[in-house]
Amino acid sequence: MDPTDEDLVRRVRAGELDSFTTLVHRYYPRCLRFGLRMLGERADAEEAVQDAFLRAYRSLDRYEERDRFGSWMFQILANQCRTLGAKRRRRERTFVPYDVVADFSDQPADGFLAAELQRALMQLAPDHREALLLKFVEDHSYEDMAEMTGVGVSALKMRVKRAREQLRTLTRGWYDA
Amino acid sequence: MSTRWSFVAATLLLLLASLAHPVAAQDGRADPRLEARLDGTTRAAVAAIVDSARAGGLPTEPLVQKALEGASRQAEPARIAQAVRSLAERLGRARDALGASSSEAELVAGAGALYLGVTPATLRRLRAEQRGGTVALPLVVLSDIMERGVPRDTAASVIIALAGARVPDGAYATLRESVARDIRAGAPPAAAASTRAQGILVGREPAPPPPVRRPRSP
Amino acid sequence: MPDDQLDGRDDEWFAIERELRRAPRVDPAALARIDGEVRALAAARARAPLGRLREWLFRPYSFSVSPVGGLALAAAAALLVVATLRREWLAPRAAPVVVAERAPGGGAAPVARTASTGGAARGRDVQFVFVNADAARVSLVGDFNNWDPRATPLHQETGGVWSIVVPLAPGRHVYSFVVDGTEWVPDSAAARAPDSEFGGANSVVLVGDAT
Repeated sequence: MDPTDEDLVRRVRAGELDSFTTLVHRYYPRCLRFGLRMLGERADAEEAVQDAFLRAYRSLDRYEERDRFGSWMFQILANQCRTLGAKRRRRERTFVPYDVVADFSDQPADGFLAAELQRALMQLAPDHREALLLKFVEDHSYEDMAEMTGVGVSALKMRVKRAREQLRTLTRGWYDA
Repeated sequence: MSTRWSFVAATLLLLLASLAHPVAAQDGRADPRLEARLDGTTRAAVAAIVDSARAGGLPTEPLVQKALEGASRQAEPARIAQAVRSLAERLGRARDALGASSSEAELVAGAGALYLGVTPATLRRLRAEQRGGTVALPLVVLSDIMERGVPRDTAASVIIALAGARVPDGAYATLRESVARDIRAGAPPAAAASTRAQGILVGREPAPPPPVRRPRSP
Repeated sequence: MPDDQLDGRDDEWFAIERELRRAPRVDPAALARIDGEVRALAAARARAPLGRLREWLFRPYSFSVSPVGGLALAAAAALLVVATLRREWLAPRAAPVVVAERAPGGGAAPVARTASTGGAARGRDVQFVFVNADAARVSLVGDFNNWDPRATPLHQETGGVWSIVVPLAPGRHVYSFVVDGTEWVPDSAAARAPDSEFGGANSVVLVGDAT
């Protein structure tokens, strides 16, 4: 039977580093997916995810077992993405061929649309994009999201709603059969 | 007695059948150019495709010309018929994606792009981004750079970006020529296309936000 | 209806959501890097028993690993990664389309250069140029002359330059050159037509309205 996240955390605190490696492997794909969608660039995403895991390791003593590791991990990651996103140099790139085809594991039906969707996603305000991704891609509850972001549940719901509307407007007609 | 009547009946049926046959029909639709250049079977097959294209409101001249090209290139009759059939099908899909009011040049250019694997979604996007301008030139350039090795998704992305930025016609020609030159000089095609597009787009006024899209008609 | 729900069809949203949820390609080297850094961090901590000292030591965040140690850690981590991860690699890009043969020759740009109106109602005169010093005859074939190699011979100027001016109706035209009646050669300076299903390559010219 696979160890739970809490089992693994306990073992890491007891000095078993391999358990942290297991946790990293368990959460890396999801974290990378969030980073890629949030930041739009692979190098930045990998950097944010790496920093997040290291921060998590360093603050493991502060982790309390009543928190869920996944939510806690994403709280740290969301912070890293926010910081990195804000710090990133404003590049005057009107055209970015998002490497979304290469960044994701299986081939999309239409690589051009996949890249365009990422471009549309990047047009959302960062806090709207973050809320949308946390809710609809990473499946966090609004309560968890409120803890992660420090923002109230109804404000988060409004952000998600607006983000969905905006994304749907930007992509209208793309996915007709 | 019954043998004679069945013979008459058979003859009548044969006459009716021959009247209905498109090749024998004297309704003026049989193209004399096809008559002169294709053998009977191929001509019948091509004429049938042309007729149903016409009935469907699709342009027929490109289909006739495709058959004539095949004849001039001395292609196999089966191949000629297949090529015409394929073009007719792609013209229909191009019209679905680009809209019924598309010009013949736009439809043929769209059909060509579909041949290379460009998706209908890309055609729809291009139509939307062009906002009333012709999509023929962008599609010709898209097909050309793909023929030179630029991967489909990069090529589509580049052309859509230029369309969205409302570049003048000359910019498409410039893109095509410079990408061709760069590839001949050894550049990887995707990099050549991205770089040249970037060069065209840099320094432009940012394109205005897209207008509120009309609801898609069912 | 929950606050975050939208009215209307959700089919398009499902397509978007499905796309957004696709699994990312994971680079084992990146995982190995994290593992290496964590272990180095742990090792450094072990050397600093006091909790507060440990905090101080790691603000700002920097440390080093010896090359051999780093390689060993990376190799061990990579082995672990390979053993536990599914290999999800790059989705291949669309294969490059087979490139048609090129031949010497100048010729029409994708948009017709000459602007003078032709004899036909709304057509334009378009000049086609082909360069070949060895040819005995060159003709133009295309969708404007029923691909007939006898219909439009080019005139030979000096230096192996062949040319002809043809009135073309506005629109997209596909064409090729035929050398000595047998060899079909596309226009190397013009746009390539994509759907040449008969084994040869054609060129494209777009003619605008005279107005």
